Amino acid sequence: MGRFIVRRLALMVIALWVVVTVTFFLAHMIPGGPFDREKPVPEAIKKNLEEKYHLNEPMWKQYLLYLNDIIHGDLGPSFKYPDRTVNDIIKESFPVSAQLGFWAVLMATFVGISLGSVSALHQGELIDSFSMFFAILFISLPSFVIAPIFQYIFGVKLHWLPVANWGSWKHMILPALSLALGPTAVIARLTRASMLEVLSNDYVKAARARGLSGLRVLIVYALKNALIPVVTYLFPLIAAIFTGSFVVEKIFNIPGLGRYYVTSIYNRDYTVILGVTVFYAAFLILMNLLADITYALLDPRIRYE
Amino acid sequence: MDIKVEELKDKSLWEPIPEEEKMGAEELTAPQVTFWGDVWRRFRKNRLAVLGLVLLVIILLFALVGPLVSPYPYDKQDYDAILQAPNLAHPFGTDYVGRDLFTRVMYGARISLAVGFLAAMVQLVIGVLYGGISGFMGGKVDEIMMRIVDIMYAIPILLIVILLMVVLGPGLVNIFLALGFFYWLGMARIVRSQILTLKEEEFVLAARVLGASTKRLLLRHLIPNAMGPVIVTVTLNIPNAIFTEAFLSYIGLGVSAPMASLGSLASDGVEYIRTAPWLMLFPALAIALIALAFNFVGDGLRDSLDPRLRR
Amino acid sequence: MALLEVRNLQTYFFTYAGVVKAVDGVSFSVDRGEVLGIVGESGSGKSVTAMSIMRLVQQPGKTVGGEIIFDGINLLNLSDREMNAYRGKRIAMVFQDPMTSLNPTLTVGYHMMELLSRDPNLKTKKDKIDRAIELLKAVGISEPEKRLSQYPYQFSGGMRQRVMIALAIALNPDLLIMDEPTTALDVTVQAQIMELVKEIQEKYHMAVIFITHDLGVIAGFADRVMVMYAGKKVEEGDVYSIFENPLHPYTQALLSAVPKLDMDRSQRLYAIPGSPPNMIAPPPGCRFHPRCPYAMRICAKKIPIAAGTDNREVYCWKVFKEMGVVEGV
Repeated sequence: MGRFIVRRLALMVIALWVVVTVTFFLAHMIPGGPFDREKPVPEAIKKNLEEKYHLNEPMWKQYLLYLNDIIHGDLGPSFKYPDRTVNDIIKESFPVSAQLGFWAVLMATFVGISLGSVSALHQGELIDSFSMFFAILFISLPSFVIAPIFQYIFGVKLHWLPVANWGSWKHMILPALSLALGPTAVIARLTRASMLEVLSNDYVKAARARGLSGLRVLIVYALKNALIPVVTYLFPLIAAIFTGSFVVEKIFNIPGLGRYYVTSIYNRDYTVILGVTVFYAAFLILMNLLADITYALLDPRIRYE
Repeated sequence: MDIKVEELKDKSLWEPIPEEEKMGAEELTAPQVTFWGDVWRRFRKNRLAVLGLVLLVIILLFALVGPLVSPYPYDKQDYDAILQAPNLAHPFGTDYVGRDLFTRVMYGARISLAVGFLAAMVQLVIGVLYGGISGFMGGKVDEIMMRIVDIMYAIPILLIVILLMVVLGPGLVNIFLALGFFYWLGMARIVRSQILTLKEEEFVLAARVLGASTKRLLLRHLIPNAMGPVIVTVTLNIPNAIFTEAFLSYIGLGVSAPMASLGSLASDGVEYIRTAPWLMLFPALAIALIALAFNFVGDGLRDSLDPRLRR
Repeated sequence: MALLEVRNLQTYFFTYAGVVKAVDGVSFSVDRGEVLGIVGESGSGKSVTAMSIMRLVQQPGKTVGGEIIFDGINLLNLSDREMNAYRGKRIAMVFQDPMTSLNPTLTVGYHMMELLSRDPNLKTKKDKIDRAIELLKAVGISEPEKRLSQYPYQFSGGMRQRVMIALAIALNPDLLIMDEPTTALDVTVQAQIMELVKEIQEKYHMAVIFITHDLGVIAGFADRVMVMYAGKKVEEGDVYSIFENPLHPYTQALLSAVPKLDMDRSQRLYAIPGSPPNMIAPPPGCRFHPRCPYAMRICAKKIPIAAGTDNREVYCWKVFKEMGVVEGV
């Protein structure tokens, strides 16, 4: 177990370093400097800014300074809003995204696993065909398509839920649903396939031959083992939900980090784009590590490898 | 037993059957069909898969031929026909500068399909080669090649693609580049594990013993046998690539105006969702239909290629 | 009365391509303390017979006819819950592949404790642990205390099969079904496991159904042997008469396919010509006739009827003819 975690941790650190480095050099490939805007900045101010951000230093020194900043958790300032740093923006808006993402992940795993198990246990029956048809339908609908449709139907037409904005739990339902439906469908299909595979295993047959109750075989033998491959999807799931939140937050006008990110892309606010990218990358890589550890906890063969 | 003794008295019954008249076990085994013939037979029986294939052909026709026969160019603005609801002249309605949405959606579908095609090519060329070489060489080379894939896998790809697009600037070619960088990773892993499994199989060993060259072994034995999972992965990954392009266009990093991709059309439509919902609805439906068609076909292929389902 | 009496068992698989009659009207019985060997090639229906007795035939298979009378009760009439009370406690089963028969995510101890909690005589946790250790010792696993907390992958194939046997005998069943328990193991381990099985059968005096494709394996173990081919019984008799005087051409072929120590080196092992039949459209009449060197016209037309004496049953027209039941042929 220890060695496994150390290996994963090393992989994570390397991945982070790659992201930071790629980010840095991509930033320097941006045509023109970050201060070459439509409205030229006065030469004196530009020089001042360049000094402040070490833009006059040689490249390698800038890179080291950048690495140093990031290790200390400083993601830099915003050029668009000079009075705010990227850290401020994240501190303010990430909790909103995290809250939304949390409910979406929770819903996707819970509903997905239940639906997948029920389908597997009733393979070929009506409920199986029905839920698998809807699964493939929702996989084929990206969240930025689902979101406006929900907004139109439940907000504009039926007035059941607020059309947009953030505040009460009612505001959360539509965006969380838009984010969760696709991943729910993926998890349902994954659980079903994995469950069918496990159910055909000798150890399930052997457990039944020992006269264990159906429920016991289902939970201790089938579900637990069937969930192991599902856990490997947890990381892509979280990534999908958080990147999905970029557009969903924009569509529902939610003051989350995703909306800031997309706005800064529209505005070409480079330092914010870079800073938030590094932050998201770090967050998702960390989630990846957690998913790996969960995986190892569930499967003893990996733990002792 | 319902056999009467009388029946058994017929002496001819007790004569030996000449060897050539025996109902041979071999002839009676299931009718011999080729592997792909068998796959096709099972694919055809899957209604959703066939539906997906038909949908795909129709979408392809619309995307390739549609814009050529459409009376409206995709970028022609007509200020006499602004924000028209779907009607006979404009089956999908018109947008805020009077462009025909039907034509624009067909153009968008073209871009989506082009992205899907590119993703398939990247996977087939880079992914299959990378995975094949890694799995086949084994040892140190495999170790290093797979570490690289592991690290790239740990990186949230979409973020880097976004960054690349920010740096490279919007445009179709840049989308191709950005996607091409990453779309081979999963495939490389799948091909490698396929090759590793196949390397242990008897027939590959047999070919080795017979002195087949490495190149021949790779081309004639390993790659054709790993084809099944490769095809399924390609088909099921195409919608992902299409989604990514649509997503990038949606957040303003995709193709630039007046060109339209389904993503940017949907994004434009969102602003008019109260007044002109069709502007959002039709591009969204088009994305969903394309993805659905590929998913149906991919699922059908997977089911008909799965040896465990061969009964 | 026999412990187990199977009458006209029919288990069919309803597949894509057609109906496979995997077990097609098989009858046999097993007495208390008796060892019955079921022999046949793969696809002969021997494993499906075992799964039918356990009532664990999986989709798309279904037992569509016949009776399975165990200790006076037809198992096919029981509810799922009632049947569960039989599994493990009165009828236990050991599977072919020990590598996949244990849940990889649970310790061996968990497997054992879970089963032993159904034993009303074991009240405390300590009772159960003691019994688990006793069982592991009985199947020849050293350091059982330590082994209990280990996971299946930490055991070798032979050791896992010992664990499976320990699990099978844990609740003192009346009948133990073993489905090719040694096939997946190395030859030396095979011999050890066979020794263990014999020892345990004698000690607990259980009835055993031992399924194998290898007649040689059960020569010194079974009391009676039933030979199956393509879903049907072709011959049954006590072990000595089957080995000394096989009557059915298929049994004869199976026996000549077993190497013998006293065989001349120049002698070739006999291989049965042809391949097992397609089970969706099996040959008419006797299912073995396309591969049979003695096939007669009747063999392709009519299903053979039982021929034989008190202790012997053969389904073969050639044997039937030689008995001289029908005059003049």
